[in-house]
Amino acid sequence: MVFTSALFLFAFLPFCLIVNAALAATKNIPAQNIFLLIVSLVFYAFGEMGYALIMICSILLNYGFGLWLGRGGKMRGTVLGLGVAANLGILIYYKYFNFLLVNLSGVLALVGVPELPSELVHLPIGISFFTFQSISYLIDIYRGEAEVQKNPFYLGLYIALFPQLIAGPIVRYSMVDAEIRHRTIRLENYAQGIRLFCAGLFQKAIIADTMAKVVDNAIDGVAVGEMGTGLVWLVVIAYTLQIFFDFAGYSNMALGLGRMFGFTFPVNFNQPYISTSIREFWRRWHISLSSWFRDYLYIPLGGSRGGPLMTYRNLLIVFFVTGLWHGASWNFVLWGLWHGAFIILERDRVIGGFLDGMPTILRRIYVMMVVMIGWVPFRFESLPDALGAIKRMLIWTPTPETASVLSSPSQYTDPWVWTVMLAAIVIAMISPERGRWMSDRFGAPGTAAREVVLAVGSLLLLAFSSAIIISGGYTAFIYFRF
Amino acid sequence: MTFWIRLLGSLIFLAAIAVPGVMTVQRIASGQEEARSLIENRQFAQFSVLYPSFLEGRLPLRRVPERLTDIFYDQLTVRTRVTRWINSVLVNGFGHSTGAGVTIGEHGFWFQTESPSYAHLACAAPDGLDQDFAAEFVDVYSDFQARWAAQGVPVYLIVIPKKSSVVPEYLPSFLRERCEGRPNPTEQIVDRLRARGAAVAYDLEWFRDQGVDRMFDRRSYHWDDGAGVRYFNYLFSDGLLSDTEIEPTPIGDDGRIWIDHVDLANKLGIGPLDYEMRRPRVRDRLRGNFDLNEWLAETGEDYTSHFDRRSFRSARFMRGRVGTGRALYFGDSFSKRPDNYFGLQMEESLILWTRNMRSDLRMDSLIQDFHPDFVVLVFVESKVAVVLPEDPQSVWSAFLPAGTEWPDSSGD
Repeated sequence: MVFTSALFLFAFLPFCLIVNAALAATKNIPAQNIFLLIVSLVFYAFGEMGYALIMICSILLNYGFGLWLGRGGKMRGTVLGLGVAANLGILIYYKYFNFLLVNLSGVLALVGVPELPSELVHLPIGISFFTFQSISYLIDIYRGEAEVQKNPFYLGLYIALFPQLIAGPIVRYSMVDAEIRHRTIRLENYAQGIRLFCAGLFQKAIIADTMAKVVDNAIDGVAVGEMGTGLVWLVVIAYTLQIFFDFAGYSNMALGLGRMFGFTFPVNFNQPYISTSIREFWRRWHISLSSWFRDYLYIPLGGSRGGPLMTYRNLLIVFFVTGLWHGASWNFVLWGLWHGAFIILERDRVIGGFLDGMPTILRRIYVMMVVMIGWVPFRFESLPDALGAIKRMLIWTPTPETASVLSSPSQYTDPWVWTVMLAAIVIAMISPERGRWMSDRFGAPGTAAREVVLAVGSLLLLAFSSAIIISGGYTAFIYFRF
Repeated sequence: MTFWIRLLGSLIFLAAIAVPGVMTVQRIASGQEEARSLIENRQFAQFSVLYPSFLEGRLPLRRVPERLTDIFYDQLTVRTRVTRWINSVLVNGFGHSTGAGVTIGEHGFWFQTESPSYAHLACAAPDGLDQDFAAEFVDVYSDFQARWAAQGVPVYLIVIPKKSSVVPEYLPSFLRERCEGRPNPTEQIVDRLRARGAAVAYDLEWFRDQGVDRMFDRRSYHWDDGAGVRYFNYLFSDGLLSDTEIEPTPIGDDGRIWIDHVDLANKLGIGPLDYEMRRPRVRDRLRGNFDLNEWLAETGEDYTSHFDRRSFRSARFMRGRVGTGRALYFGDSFSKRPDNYFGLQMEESLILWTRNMRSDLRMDSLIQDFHPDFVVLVFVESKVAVVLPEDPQSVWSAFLPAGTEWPDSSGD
């Protein structure tokens, strides 16, 4: 089930909110937790009926390892290693098995070994997120930053809680441990949750999905060789907006839902496209993932403590894995290393100093160029296509004379697409300070005037986004279809 | 004050998402599910269909979530109204197409183009015409017509121009630029058919001379019934069918207003929209007007080798008050008001639609069984100028001789 389906929005969500509110009124935390665990498993089963069992196994596995770690002793390091390996084993099998098999087959083909049988393994949705959450649970216990959860239902709730299950943010166990054991729903948080949810819904249903149509239609319809510079730029700009608003929209919806159920999840995106360096970009983009890698990989590898070469090595490892986390393809690895390379360059005293001396506007242009070029291998599936698209971005290439009508950028745009694109650019480029300044025009925080504006604005976003979601599934035929 | 505003906002939010869901569940639980949508022209998913098939083991558990999602969406109480409202804003306010395959043109013109393949707009299709199919089609159809001409049964092919061919100047600029200055693919194929001796009408200039607004509603895919009468009058008086004994139907003696639905409005999700069109009254009564079942019962004939029984109801058999001959009329949804002519002015007419035909129908055997004096075929131009066909032979295979198959252009 996805947040932008009618079934979720008009049936599943109100049911969960109303029942949870009723249980919260009785202050019965165990009942709330068990209810949320059950609906979370139902939510997951709706998308991945057969794979809900894997999630339950993952919960039981980590529950067992957690208890084992909690017993202490000299074996704790080994137990942690086993627990992390078990989680990674699940992730590697379901996410990377096909990728490994294809690459191994390619290597063996070089020495004349016949092609390996390729049994396609289905990728269960959300596995990257709940696996990383599980690992963080074990590590936090090992480090003494969290207590062992002795109630399997509570641990299950942490791993399976539906708001952040599919697209994050990656919530550390230590962040929600206390709220799982005891929480209250306050009206202020509830209203804030509604605002975040409506904003996220708008970002996903209106902006990201409109941009996605532009991108998908162009890439599916036209070979890169038939694209001119104009169309490639249109696709890349649209994709730059799509991926941000899709991801940030889901995260905001998750944060909003969390608030409505009494949880506080970490902010995952903080206007990344206003960054003035790639380092800053990664402090604003998918914050829960980058901080996860920082705390659980970069720092254990030695971080920046071993001199420049060791630091560069560690950064490249982190960004290699970051790329691979996003998808089992060399394109994602390339994307990760591309970002890693610029972070290393920015650490150089000369280059970094030069960048620091540039006007802000030029630094932002530099970041956006790096980021947008980076998105090309992220979206174009084959490496030659990605390189061809980058070449067309950087070197003026007219649309070939023989190209079909699908090569015309006008094919993919109309006043609606331009309006959404312009609005998206404006929203993406507003700094948090400017956003606060604008909010303050409606009154100081907590004042009635401001609350009215925020409430009305949120409800309008909900109405507009819901209408787009509802109309999105409309299917009519000229002749009758059964 | 802040507390009450927050409380009110939260309650409105909950009501906004809960009320449509409760109403929908109530509709499903009370057995008031809608079975079909006339606007969307499709059958709705229903819970009353789902659960018996699940209980009887015909639907596996893993498919249930997907079906439940479909049922909830189809039965959602506010769906049609909300869709109409938001799509009207997008279409009329932003020129944004909300329907698959519908292209918003200029000056209020909408076109059915089947974008992005542009299968309905051969001049703009990315891969152009299917040239292999075009050559095969010209061969198959020319041979068919020659076969029956030799036996004294003339066959007339009327190709109806689409709105996009009549007024390409109202296509959006990127399509207009593509189609202007390029030879019209339909004209090219029609010329090839005529060179092989086939009697074909493709009266593009006549359509343009009439003025597009007399032939089409700007928002419709099909041309209208009144235009159909005018065009057949032209065909019988000065056009391809002037050799037949059928007289044009007088126009202007009535000019009744008929209300019809704008079909593309339904595809865009902003229907139903109505428009008015003038259609002359049919002056005389038919002596007989039967569906095929009735006719077969009366005559004792058996046409089940040609048509599926379930589609007999829409096939018509007519007996006119005047006339002596028999006519076989075969057309698609662009065939408008043939009963004014064939039904009234021929002794017997069989009026059939492509949608009723069996996949193994052969026109040869149908003509042999019905022995008409002449055959009229009326098809929209996209059935002649075929682009990226999924199954282009589905219509034209019927024109092959018995026992033969469509030529295999793939060489497999």
